[in-house]
Amino acid sequence: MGISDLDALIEKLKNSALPSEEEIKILCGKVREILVEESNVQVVYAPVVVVGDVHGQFYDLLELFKVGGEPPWTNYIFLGDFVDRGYNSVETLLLLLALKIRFPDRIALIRGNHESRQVTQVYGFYEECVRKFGSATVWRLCTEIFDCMSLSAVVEQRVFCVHGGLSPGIESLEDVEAIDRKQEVPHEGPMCDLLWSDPEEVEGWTLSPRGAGYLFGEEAVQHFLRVNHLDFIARAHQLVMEGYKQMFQGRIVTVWSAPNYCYRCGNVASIMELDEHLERNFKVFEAAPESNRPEKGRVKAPDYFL
Amino acid sequence: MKNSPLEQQRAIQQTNDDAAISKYCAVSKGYYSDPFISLFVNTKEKRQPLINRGTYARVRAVQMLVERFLQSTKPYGKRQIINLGAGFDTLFFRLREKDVICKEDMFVELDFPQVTRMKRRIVRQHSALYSLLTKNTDTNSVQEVQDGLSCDIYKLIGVDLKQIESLSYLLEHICQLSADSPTLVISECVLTYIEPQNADRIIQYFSNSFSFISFILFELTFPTDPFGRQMVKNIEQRGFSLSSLSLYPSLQAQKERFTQFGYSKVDIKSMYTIYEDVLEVEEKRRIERLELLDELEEWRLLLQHYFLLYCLKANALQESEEDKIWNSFCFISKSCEEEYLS
Repeated sequence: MGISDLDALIEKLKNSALPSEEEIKILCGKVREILVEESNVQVVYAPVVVVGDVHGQFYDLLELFKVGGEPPWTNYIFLGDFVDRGYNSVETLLLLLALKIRFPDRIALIRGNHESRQVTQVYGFYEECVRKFGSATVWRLCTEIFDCMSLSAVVEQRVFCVHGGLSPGIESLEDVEAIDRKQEVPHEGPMCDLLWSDPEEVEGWTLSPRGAGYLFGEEAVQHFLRVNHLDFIARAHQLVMEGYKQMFQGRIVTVWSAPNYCYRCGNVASIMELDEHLERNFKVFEAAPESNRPEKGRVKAPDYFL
Repeated sequence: MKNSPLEQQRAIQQTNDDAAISKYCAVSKGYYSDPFISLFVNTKEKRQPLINRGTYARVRAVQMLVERFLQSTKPYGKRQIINLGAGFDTLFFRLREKDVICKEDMFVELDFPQVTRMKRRIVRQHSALYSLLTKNTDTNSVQEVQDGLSCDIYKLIGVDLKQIESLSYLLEHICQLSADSPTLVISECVLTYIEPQNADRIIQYFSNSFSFISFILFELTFPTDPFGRQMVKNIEQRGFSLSSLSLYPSLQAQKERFTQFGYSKVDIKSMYTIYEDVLEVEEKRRIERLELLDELEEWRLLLQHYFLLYCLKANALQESEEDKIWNSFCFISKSCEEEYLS
């Protein structure tokens, strides 16, 4: 697959046309070569735009690129949860993978808790693959890519980026580096916690009501930042109606990038720009207008209690 | 473009199918037991875990309230339950199976004639349902009436609830309800589809015509915050409007509505509070293991936009007696509801 083929594929994906299974196989092979080489803590340079959960909301991702700038002109870190929930997980994931192959140094893809075999079988990606391709082959190819995705990034050695949060089993960045990540997301342990945990006003560590990971308080955040000489943590994983939320005097920030999440929640989304001084600038955006959503009318509105 | 009244009516009737499918899905996933719902639904549809869990909370909480009402009114003879817009609800059959409805009691189900005729057909087809109509009663006679069914303890009647004169005639003359017997009205996602002045007349009619009356209302709320605006938009896409919602847009407004229409004791809780503070801990521990539900913020938002209101007016009773019934009827919540009321 040459550069012109790739550019054609990216263009095709942006027009929400699906590649063939054969093309996807090649795409996955290529992106796998890149991802397996990456470290568990990717090194990223500023300026960069940090993106939270996208969840298969493909037309909102295109909207996001309008707000943040098209790759490669903007440098991106995506904090995971590319798939599930939205109607277009396949298109969303494949576009991001194609961009990763085309501009490997301008886009970092971090694994979220939905990049998992188990979770995607409950929350839509599996079914979407079977519906769109007639078998689970594409899903299987994609889940193998999930296993290769990095677990975190550090911007200019000062901002730690992760999908969920911290782990009581992780003291330093070296501990993150030491994880053998090339596996299905485990049910417990440091790798699970990085993808599942949430910051909360709690003392110490408590088990998360989500059923995996922990709730961690300000002290855990301050300690981790001190030990690793970091300024703050950027993470995603939790819906924020206002698009982003800063906690613990700005020591941790949640970025949420799926506007009108699940076509149900009515929230705005945001992306976080970090300039060369690592100053934060949040760009808030709404769901793509109806005119830019070709799926309208063909998809079912979310369920309620009636 | 606005739909014609007939199209709106058809869309409202479809909410019955939708609710029945949700209940069927929750039951088949093991959230609660309902041996009857599968007789009403034939679908391969699936529901998300949060809809299954919320459906469990709704069905469980309503049944708890109904059973508390039946328990606390035991000494007062005949009890009357009226299920407005009952659709394919199986409450009557579930209560009958548990033997909490006695042969003196009367259970009335009202809905559009198109819906009651379908329900009648299904009840007649299945002896599991049909046999419960007459179990432990004196006579074995079940008659077909008014697009529905009639027997000693059960009436299924087709009526457009907006026609309040027909409604009162049917209840007073066809069902021969007594004005003084303990009476419970259940309305789950029904009044909100009716224009507010008609919905209000229904609420008033019951408080004016019955001296010992309780009302259970399960509906949506908070239509003006971002989640609520999207909810209204998504639901109205089905082709009808949520007429009463904007006039009573909060828990406080709903509470005042019922107080104003003569119910002396009124309580209202968001479904989130009900789930967190009212439903049995053991049961919740069991159902929370059935399916992965990791999106807790969406869950909280959805449940905060639904409520359960229940109220009582028993002005023939002494105040202390009314208090006693109220105390054994209402949910006691350990957390403070104030924050949700504003």
